[in-house]
Amino acid sequence: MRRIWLGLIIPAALLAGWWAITALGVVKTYQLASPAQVARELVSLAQDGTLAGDLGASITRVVIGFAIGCALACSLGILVGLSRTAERIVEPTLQAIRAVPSLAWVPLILLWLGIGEDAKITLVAIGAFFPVYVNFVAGIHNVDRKLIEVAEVFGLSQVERAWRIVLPAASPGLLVGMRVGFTQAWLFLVAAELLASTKGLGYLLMQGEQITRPDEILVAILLLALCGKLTESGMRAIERRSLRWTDTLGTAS
Amino acid sequence: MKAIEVRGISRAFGDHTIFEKLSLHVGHGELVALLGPSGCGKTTILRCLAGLDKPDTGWFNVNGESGIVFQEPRLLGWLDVRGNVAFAARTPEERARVDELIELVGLTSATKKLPKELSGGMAQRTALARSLVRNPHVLLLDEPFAAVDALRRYELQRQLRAIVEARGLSALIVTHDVDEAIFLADRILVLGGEPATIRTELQQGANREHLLAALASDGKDDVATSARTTC
Repeated sequence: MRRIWLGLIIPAALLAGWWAITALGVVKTYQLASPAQVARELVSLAQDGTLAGDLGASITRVVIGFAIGCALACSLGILVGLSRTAERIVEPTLQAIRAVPSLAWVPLILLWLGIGEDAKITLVAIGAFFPVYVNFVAGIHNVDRKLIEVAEVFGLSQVERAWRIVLPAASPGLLVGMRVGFTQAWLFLVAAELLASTKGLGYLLMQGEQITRPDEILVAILLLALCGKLTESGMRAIERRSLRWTDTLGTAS
Repeated sequence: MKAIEVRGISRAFGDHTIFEKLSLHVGHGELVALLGPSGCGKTTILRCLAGLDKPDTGWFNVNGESGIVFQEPRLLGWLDVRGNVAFAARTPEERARVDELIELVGLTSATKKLPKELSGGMAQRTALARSLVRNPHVLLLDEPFAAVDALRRYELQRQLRAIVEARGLSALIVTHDVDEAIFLADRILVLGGEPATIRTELQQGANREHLLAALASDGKDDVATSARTTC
């Protein structure tokens, strides 16, 4: 309980500061809406169904895009992690692609795939791919060679070694990658929606800017913060549950 | 045919020859200790026998299924004691043996524990049970109790000797601990020099039994002293 209270100190202070600034008229209302205005906007967006539509569209894109990016990253990661040859073939190219600031892909993908769902899901998948891939490969490379020898002594096949030793031993890296990948997926979603969209939280942001509605922008930002925080906490909970076996500082209770 | 037979094996890492033209054997039902200082190549010999390394020249044969216990327990952290012992099982018959082996090494109350919750001795006992799942004829042991504290080590040594005798196993144990070699082995091979060769061979037989008799009446310290004076 104490942990939760401690975490609430800064948000509460921010909220109080925000309220004070707007109530005292320090900033213009068209630049920063008051907490009450934002709350009213949230309620009205919720009542006319816009909110559900935007939120639903964004969550669907993130979940599908993340699933695709994650699946690709896992398949390629296991190949590169286990085979030196595959690593030599794939790694230089992937490193070069990774060196491009990731958001630079947005215009190109929009040009190729148009402004439909495909483009946005592809971008989210790209966003999720790299953190998952990088952390998974690192996790595989960090597997203790001594455990592989145990498999060797018992005469396990290559596939069995991968499945029964390498994968579980690399799972901490994979799960960290998935958590970071999910955060990255939200980032790419907003980028895609800001540029070309008729629905979604990114669209809400852009619309708010165009029609000078700071309350609408803040509603979108708060919802993004909430979604991001929820996925992050969810992923952390999964990590804690499935990594109870690890003997590290992070999992000590 | 011998349980383990090694004829003239040599192994070098780069310019450094670890051992040259080394021969040894372990008879059926015999527990042989390979005794020598750290870094003299004992472990490399054992790794060759386990198929984890290859001698550059020479010939060796391990008769039948072998089980190995490493210096570290090398348990799989995400599996509990039961899962780790069952890891090596391939057939339903071998799987059925798991609980019996856990009982044999005295870990029945810790069956559901994860490796991180085990003491060094418990972890090594889990590893020993795992090495027995396939009902091996030969046991290869690489300083298995080196990381366990002295009191527990004595317990484990006794347990190991009892298991080897009860199951009619043949075993080769690598150790740098003179007491351990004397206490456990029917025969001791003393390894030394560069490249390493077998310096001396010590048939224990009666000495071991004296030792055990002394052990039954006195404490461990007395035994260690009497062991040093008798050999």
